Amino acid sequence: MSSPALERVVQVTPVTFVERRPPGFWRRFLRHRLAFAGMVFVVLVGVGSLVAPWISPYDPYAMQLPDARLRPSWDHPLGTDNLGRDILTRVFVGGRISIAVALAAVAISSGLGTLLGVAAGYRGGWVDSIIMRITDMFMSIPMFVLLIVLVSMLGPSAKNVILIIGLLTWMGPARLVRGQVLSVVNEPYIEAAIASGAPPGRLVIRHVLPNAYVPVVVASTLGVANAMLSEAALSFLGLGIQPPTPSWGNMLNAAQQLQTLVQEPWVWLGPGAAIALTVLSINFMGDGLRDALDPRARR
Amino acid sequence: MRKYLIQRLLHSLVILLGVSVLVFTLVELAPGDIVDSMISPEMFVTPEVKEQLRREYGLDEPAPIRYVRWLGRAVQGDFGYSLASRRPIRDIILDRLPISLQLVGFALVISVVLGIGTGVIAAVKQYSWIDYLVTLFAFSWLSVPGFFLGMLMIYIFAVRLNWFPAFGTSTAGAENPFLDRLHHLVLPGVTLGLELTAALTRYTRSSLLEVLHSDYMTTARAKGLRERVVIVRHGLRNALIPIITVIALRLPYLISGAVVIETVFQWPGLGFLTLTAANQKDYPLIMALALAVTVVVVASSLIADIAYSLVDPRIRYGD
Repeated sequence: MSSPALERVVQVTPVTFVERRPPGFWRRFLRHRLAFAGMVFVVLVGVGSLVAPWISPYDPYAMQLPDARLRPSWDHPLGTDNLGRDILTRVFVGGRISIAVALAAVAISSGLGTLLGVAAGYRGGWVDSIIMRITDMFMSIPMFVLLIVLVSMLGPSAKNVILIIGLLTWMGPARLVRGQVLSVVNEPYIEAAIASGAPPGRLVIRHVLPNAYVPVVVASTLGVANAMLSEAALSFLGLGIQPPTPSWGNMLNAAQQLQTLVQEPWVWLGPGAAIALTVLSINFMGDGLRDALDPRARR
Repeated sequence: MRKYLIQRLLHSLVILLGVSVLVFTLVELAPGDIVDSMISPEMFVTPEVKEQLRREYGLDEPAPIRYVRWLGRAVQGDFGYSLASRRPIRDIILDRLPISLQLVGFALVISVVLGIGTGVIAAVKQYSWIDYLVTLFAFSWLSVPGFFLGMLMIYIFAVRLNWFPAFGTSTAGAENPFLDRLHHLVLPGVTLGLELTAALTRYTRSSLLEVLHSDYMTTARAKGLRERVVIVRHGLRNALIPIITVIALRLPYLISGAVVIETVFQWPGLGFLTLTAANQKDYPLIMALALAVTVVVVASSLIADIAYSLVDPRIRYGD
């Protein structure tokens, strides 16, 4: 039936379409110098927070009252707090919880947002209008006020902070995914997939999402930075991670006392700079990712 | 236009109704019996008395009926009594509202002036060192948490340089109360406004850059108008339209930020009150605050939408 020449074409074509990402992703990402610097910083902080307890000569929890309130020195590069604990060690150990909480919260919000966005964009009709109305509603409540209300009701703990931040920030991803799905569903290849009898679930996972994920990846990266800021603010107000577990936010909570604020600035400068630099680095990474993943979206 | 307005109003009402249901449900689910919090802990109260209290306050009725009653009173501005201070919630909020409005208003003015100003400079001098500096600063401010910035401000400008007072709203016995209040507003106001400033700088820059190379700008220059008139009257005026939306969309962040900033600077406004209410588990007060703040946000986004259509004659709704 088929000629050998046609057979060769059929064999060759799939290979040319396997490449999903535009080539040179890493080269484009690395060319964005600030994004690269941001990635290096985030990796350093991440690795540092994982290995700090084994490397540091100090216990992040044990009180060492004779060493209380020491200025930065060779022995304590960031000084010690009012209980004599080494601040550098606590900044790294605090990074663990701050990073983990942010990542877990974004996993929840991106997952939920993607689910709702696909449902709204793909099903359309009344499903779409109900989901979008609820999204509008949640977007018009000042998020942080609701965060405070919920945490005060459920009680402050790492688990609650993750759940609440995750469940209150899905609106951005949901809108993004919906928009992407809407722009993709009318493409010929979706029609082709429907025509070839793909079931809806498979269609969404194999054909719709792979072509809609770029903005979600960028938004999730920026979402990690925002979740980190929310956790820090909650912990700073005493409603987030509870001492003695150090988090960047609650280390600054201790510094609200006038004496610490005025006379021992090193106690709050270290953890504050850790939050600011990490969030900045993640934001740079998000910027670089956007440029590298989507060469069309040059701003 | 009228059809669009009515539609937009209805939309806002639906959102507010949804938020009120949400807030009411949250408080329903809150742990603890509200009757227990009305009785002082030293008093011994029999279950019968509790039951009577419950009936007196209408707490024995099903939730939907209580919701409708609560909403009916809330619409008239009656939010009941605070559990912690036993005062009418309306009075508490009215006491604190002007103090918060001063702070948020000051922050808004500062960020609009600074943000649009620096954005215009950056756009006009695109790719110069000043553009890079402004862009980098704008990017960085969005990453610095407000409470850390506030502590830095207090340390540098109040403790070290002693230029501005760090805490509170006024000095007792000040000669000129107005100037004294302004003096106290500077640090918390600037700290609160910096995030919005950064956002406005970025949007003004990109919005003006888009407009800067359009044909009517060339026409304006060809007419021999001075460069400043071309930029401000022809460029900025068109670039400002999306900026109005940015301000409205960012308003919830400004109000959220006020919770943290008021705490750092011990500014006794609604944000500070929210935190106190949360710590005291004063649920009726929290409920009222969340609802009041949402009304402000929904109303301002409505106003922004209307302003949008007034500013830009190209937008026609409905007809």
